[in-house]
Amino acid sequence: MKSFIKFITCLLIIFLVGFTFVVTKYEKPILISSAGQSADVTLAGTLFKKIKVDVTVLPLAKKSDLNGVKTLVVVPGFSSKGLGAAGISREQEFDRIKDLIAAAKSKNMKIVMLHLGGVARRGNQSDDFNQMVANASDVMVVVKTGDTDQFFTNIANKRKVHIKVIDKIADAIPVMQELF
Amino acid sequence: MSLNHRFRAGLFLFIVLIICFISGKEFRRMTIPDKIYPSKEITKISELAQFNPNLKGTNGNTAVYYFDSGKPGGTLLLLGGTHPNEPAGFISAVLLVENLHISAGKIIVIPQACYSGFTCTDPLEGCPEFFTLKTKSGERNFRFGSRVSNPLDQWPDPLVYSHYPSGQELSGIETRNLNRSYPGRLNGSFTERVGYAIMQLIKNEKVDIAVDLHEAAPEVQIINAIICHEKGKDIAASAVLGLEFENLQYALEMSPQNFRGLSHREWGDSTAAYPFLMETSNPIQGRLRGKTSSDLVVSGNDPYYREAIKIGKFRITYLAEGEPIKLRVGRHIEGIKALLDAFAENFPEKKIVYGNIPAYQEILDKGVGFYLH
Amino acid sequence: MLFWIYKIITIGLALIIGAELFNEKKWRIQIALALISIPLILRIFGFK
Repeated sequence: MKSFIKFITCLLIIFLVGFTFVVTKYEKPILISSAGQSADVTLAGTLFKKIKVDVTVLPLAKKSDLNGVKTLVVVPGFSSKGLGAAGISREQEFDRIKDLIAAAKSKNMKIVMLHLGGVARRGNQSDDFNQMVANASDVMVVVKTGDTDQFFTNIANKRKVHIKVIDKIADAIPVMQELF
Repeated sequence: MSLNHRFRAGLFLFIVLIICFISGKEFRRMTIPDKIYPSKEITKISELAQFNPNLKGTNGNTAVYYFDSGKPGGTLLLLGGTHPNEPAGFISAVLLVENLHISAGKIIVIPQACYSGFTCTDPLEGCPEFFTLKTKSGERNFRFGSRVSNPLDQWPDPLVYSHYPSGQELSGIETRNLNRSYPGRLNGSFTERVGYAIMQLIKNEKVDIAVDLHEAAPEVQIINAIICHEKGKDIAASAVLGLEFENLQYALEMSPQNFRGLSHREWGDSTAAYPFLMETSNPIQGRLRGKTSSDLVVSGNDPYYREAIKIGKFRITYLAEGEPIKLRVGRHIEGIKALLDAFAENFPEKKIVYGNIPAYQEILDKGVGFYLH
Repeated sequence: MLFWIYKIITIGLALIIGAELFNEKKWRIQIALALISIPLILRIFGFK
């Protein structure tokens, strides 16, 4: 009898621990910000609306906006029009994201990277932002045309974090439902 | 004095006059209006001069097609031909005019917004004056025009164009670019008068959603995109996601607040309408292109862009099999539908109900001409 | 106003070239002058 109870207890522990690793739910409240000011941050907000999860979208979020936030979602991708509209330089945007990520890390926040712009948000101008965010993320969701050279996959493998490569933006919906 | 050289001079002059006659006829062909055959659902064909009498009797006056269901709903304004060298926008508008069926709301279409630009081509580009589409009833020619108004309608260009009212400075030729002229002026330059008329149309007709159709060279960064004013960003984002379900990828771009004169900026700032601008990839506008011909307009198939894709060192948006006009028009049509669906999600009381417009795959399978008169 | 000044200048130039064409004896220069007159004649008649 004692052996049977021990056996069932072990099974339960394995099941619970395993369950935790299979589904890591990222907690709310959630803040979404951009890294590079592309309009993809708006797409990210719409994706969360589709899965009926409340989020705050602040393309120019600062570390002071992280109060009370449990998960930071960053959407990298450079847009000269976006930076122009925001009235900031590339360097200022880079520093903002660096500070934001550092502040999130100091508060033990989870960071999710959503790279939705595909190949259009890769290349010289975007990859600085892409690399910074990828190096800080706990999980990455990437549209596959943005990872044909395995840029994000290589970072994920090196850092041993989960990466989900999707065919198109709309395929992020089931992934987001799983994560949130 | 020998008359020989005078006889020779006379002969050369006669030959020159023949050449001028023949080439003059070619130029005149571009002033002949393109024929458009509206569907039976057309309510009214008006003219843009209704909104700025200064356009009457000029090439700034262009046809405005109204489809009014008479039932409650929103109002869509669709512009094609803002840049007459971007044919997918013009042809998409023509396809709508020739097929549209409407049961709620109102749709207003201006297929040739910059009508003046259709009367000439851009100098030094070697562009064709016409392109041909095969329809069910035979071949149909359409004009392939210039990006900007004809200099015969507005001349000279200043060295620097100062936009009214912002004072933003651009290259002098932009004074003839309709998509830099908004909000325009009643008595401004020729192109500003056209811009003003379109703004007045939007205000007077209480347009709710306004879509401006464009194309750009494959190497331009903003391609296969929807550009929106900040007030329409949720609608645009929803449309982009909806299009993804149709396997059509569009980039989402925000209209820069400090770039003045464009439809997606000025229409949004100065009217209640939600403006959107869509771009498709058009190789005849590109710098890498090979032979510039009417075939390239229709087939969108260029060997040098294909080579550039193979080399893989260029950041261009171009399909290896080419970007034919049927694909570009299909994208525009599907984009318009997605924007209307997203608009109706946000404003259900302003839903526009329409029909008889083919789907993207149908246009790809049967060609654009199948849906034209 | 500027447009008409331009047109008058163009007509003037075309007339000068025409006169030179008839005075010139070398056929190569006659051909060159004749060719130069083509865009001028087209401009006079309002073609672009």
